[in-house]
Amino acid sequence: MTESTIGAGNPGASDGSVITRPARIAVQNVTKSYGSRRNPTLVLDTVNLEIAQGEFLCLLGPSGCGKSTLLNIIGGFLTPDSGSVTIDGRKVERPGPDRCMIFQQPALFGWLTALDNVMFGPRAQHKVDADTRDRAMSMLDTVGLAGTANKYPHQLSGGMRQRLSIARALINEPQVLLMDEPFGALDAITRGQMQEFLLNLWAEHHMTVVFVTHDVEEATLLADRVAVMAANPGRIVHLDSVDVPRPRSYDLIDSPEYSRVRMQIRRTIENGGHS
Amino acid sequence: MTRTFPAPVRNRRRGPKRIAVAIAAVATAVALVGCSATAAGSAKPNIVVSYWQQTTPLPETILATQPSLQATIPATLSFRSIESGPAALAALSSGSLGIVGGVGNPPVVTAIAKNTRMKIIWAQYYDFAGLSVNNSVTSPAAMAGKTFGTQIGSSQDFSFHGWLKQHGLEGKVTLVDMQPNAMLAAYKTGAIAGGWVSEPFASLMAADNGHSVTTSAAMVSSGYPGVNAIVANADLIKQNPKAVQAYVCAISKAADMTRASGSTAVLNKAGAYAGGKANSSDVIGLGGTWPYWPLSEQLGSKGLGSAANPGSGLYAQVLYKTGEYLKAAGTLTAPPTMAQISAAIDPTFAKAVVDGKCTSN
Amino acid sequence: MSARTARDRSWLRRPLVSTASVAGGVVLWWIVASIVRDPVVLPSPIDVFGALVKYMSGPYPSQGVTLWQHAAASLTRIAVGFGLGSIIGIAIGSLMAGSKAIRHIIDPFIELSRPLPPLAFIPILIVWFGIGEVPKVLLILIGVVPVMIIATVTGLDNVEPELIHASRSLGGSERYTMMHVRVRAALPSIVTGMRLAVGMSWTSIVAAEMIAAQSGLGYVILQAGNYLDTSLIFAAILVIGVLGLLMDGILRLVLRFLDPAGAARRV
Repeated sequence: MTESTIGAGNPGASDGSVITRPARIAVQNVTKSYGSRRNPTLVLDTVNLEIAQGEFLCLLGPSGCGKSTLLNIIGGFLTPDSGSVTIDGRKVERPGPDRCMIFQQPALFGWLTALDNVMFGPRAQHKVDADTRDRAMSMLDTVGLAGTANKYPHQLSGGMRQRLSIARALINEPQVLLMDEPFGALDAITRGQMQEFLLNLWAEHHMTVVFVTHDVEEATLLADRVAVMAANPGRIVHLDSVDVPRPRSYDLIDSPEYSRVRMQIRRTIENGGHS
Repeated sequence: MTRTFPAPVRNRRRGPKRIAVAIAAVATAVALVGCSATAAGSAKPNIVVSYWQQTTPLPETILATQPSLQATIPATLSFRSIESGPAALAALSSGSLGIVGGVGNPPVVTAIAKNTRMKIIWAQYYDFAGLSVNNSVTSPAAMAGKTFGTQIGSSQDFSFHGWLKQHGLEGKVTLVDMQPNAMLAAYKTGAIAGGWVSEPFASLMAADNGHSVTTSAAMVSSGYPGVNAIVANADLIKQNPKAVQAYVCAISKAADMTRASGSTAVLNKAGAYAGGKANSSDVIGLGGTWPYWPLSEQLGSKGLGSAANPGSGLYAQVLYKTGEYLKAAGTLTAPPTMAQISAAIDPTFAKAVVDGKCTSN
Repeated sequence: MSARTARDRSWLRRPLVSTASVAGGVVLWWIVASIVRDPVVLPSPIDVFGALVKYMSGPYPSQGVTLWQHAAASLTRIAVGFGLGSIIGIAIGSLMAGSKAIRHIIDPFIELSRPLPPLAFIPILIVWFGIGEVPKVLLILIGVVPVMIIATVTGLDNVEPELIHASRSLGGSERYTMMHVRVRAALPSIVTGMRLAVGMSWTSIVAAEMIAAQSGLGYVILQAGNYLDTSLIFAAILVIGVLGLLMDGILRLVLRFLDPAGAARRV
């Protein structure tokens, strides 16, 4: 498997999609340590990565390899000790709605209805106008939550809550969608359904996605490219392309093509980053 | 061949054991109940006596610190501090106090009205209190419209209302309920123009840009004195009349000791018992001038009346008047009748003291 | 038997059981009082009810006001003391949650004030503030503020960081996040603190009304205590109990509105 930058699908897809302009992310020489000055743990060691517009990239690795840390740095929640992250050339310094983060726990606002959760972003940015409400309702439709507008998060199932958190993010038309093991807390069946849902969503809107996971199957199914990471110190050891054509569906997991790619990626991990 | 199993040995052993435990439990219970029952009637009963939580020594704290005096009483005494007359009489009613000293007329008349099982056995002292006002109050008439402190429910309050009535000031002054130390603080900051309060507060207030208008003792002649008596639990009297008599004798002697030679040492010792400083004005000054009821006035029309007719005495009449006052104030809906009051007074113990029948130690 | 019917019945069951339990308690009380037969030690429910009725329309004491007015006087003091105390406590708590320095400065004072009984403050309050309504309200306030500070700080501290990250990620400024997410998420904890503070206020009212009061339920209890009028003491305590219950009920309703998820868990 060679390293290659795949220019992914069409930015601003044809059907009047949500996303205006997916961004290009450049991670340059990012280093991050934790712990005391005497005994620092190097969580990320000089990481370099280029993510193309509209690409779906997975950060794959075991716990402790720094994948979540890297995602948080891209998101602006952490600052690197050295190096920088730029989005379309602009340096990332703080969190913002252009890089919306989806967490493993949906982090929904429990006191707001589903509709109000979705409308949180526009309200927080003081960008509410006459059709914000309609856009929010159609966003709920998009993620398959039609009819739940007046329900509270605690009345929704796990899968529904994650979809709601995605809807809440998407309404802000983020250039980048950052997802930190978003389906990790769901049961296997729901997870499968969510993966299918994400595949369809991405097929339609083609935003840039950086997706963190420790699950080889998930990475192979969803991503255009997989950045395999290792720990001690945290670094990217290999970039694998997933040469499985789009559009994909969940049925893919039974196909031989998929198994081949998955096996290759798994071998990459086992060989400590060498193919 | 079938084996026959003997009945489980455990059960058989348990039976007798259980019975033994039960007998022991019952025996212990009987012993405990019996002990407490006989304690009252045994040769040396326990009597719980109250004393006022204040640094100025009174006969109770003198008794507590003079073992020779205690030895004259055929009982074991224990002492508990109190701060409130009504609370002390409630405790007396329930039996946790045996004898309460120095309790004023309003709590006593209330207790009689509530059918408390008690007897008044000694007229102990008048209130050591008075009305102090600041110097802007130049005459009784000048008090109209001003605010004064009083300890609602106390004998001082009773005297104050009597004095106000006599001077036509009823309803013309604002009275606020305060404890003595709060009253002093309020007086010093000008929140109140004065108040009727016990010593040493009355003198302290008078000394601070004020003067004394009248005292509780002066109210004896005008009919609204504060009077304080010794009250004993009726059951205690029934079971241990000898001990109660000896107690009254000892208390009378203790009061005498505050005026006799060597009084300084006696007062200092008693004052220290309640946390007072030796030779301070609280301990020596007040303790040595406390307005004890004169022995000559203990019985008859100036005191507890006679055994046949306690109602003829000043004390009973003050109680009756207090009852009327409390009824008018709306705090005691059914004050006791003169008959009830008379029934609650037992002058026989006082008579023995007056007749010199106390054993000298 | 459909699930719906079962749920309907359980909704009704709780208040029925509570009412039955209270009624049973009253009957037991009446039985014991009949045995004791001393209204000073234990008045019967009838005596207490009689006192309640008598003083609802009649003054206590004779120059005083009716029990309604006593209740109104105490309620006013508590409303002001509790209201002001809550505002101050929430404000200080918010500052402490936002700044470690402020937290370390104020913390020792809270710890020191907690074990102090309200009674201890009475002489100082009289000297500094006189004998009017101010020292009474302040006494209540002194009890309320530490409770509200602690409830506010713990509420703000315990907001899940993901909620704050989510808000920032969705475009909320730091200020917007503080107001609309952090404080809002902390509100249930703050309201729970208020429930505690209301209880404390009623506990302090007797001490507060020892400061030269001429009305109030605490004043009534103190007076009635002086005259061993146990029926009236019980009646006043009953009124305090009902008022406290009502205030707590209102706060629980507020809590339910603020925290829909919690309500489902709690019942």
